[in-house]
Amino acid sequence: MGLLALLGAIPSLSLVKIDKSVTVNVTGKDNNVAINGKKITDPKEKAKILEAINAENYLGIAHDSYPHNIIHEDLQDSFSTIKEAAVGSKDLNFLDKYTNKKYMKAIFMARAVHKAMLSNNNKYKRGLISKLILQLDKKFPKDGKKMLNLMTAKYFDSLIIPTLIELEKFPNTDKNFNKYLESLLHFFPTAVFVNNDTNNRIIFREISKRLGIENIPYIIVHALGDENIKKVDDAIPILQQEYQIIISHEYFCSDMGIKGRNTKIEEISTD
Amino acid sequence: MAPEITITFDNDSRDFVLNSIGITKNKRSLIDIDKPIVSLVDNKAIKEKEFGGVLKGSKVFIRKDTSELVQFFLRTLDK
Repeated sequence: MGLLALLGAIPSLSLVKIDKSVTVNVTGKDNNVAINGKKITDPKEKAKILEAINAENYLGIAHDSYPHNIIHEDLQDSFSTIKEAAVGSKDLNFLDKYTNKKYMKAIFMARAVHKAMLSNNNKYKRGLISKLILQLDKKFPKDGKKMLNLMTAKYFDSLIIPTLIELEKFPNTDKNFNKYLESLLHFFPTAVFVNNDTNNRIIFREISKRLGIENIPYIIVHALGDENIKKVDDAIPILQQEYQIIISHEYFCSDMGIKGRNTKIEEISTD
Repeated sequence: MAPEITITFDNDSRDFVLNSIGITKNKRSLIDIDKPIVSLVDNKAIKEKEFGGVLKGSKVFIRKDTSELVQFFLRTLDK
């Protein structure tokens, strides 16, 4: 009997919902089994499940293709988010045609995290999303969080992908696009992102750097959460002492339901 | 459409899973029939403690590393 059919026939699993996916956790030296979180306590049921796993995996050996995903429990949380990010994503496919692999990996992971943020699925609770963000930062320390910032602030939709569509009309698309992406990651002239690890000194420095650029139309300071919004508020009076600027705020609710604010800073022309 | 099954294991149940997929081990690495299993990322042998799994519909082995999962699914994007 196949594994799925067997699971359907086990009495202790009659109340366990098995619809789109089934997770079989095999843990410990005794190979304890849990199905979608429900522990199998009957030794005979457990033995049948382990036997079915062996039988189906054995077929995989013969066909050079395993019938199930088999992953270490440490990868379980990120597995489903990363997998879902790959499904039906025209933007990712389009970017993948031209983007350097080193950036594409960070974009992909950032997209997976962003998708989890947007999901109404209860499994993507805040703790899990924080864990995924930590993994993103650990695996892609240079560009991971930057990619996520660009994604959550909608710059991929409004700026980066439209730029690639334009560049595609000309030769050397991949070279030009990657040069563009690299410069954006290095320095985004019209945007500053305030994260939990951004202090007031950095905020002031980054805004000043941009105000020093000739003909910069505006700077948008993106801040999420009350503490980060306060950091921007603390920087504004100091900026107003040094520059003649107009400040306007736009409040929003983030994909995860957190209060956010985009502060637009425009330098008053003295011409 | 039939539900998709994911089997997870921990460090203690790893041997059960390795046996079920026909992977043996020597001092240095994990072996598939007569050759070491290698990661799709760097083509280097995967050691027992590094083993992260194998993905459905493939015989692509990965280390216990999120970036190797990313690499695997990047390959599934349509070209």
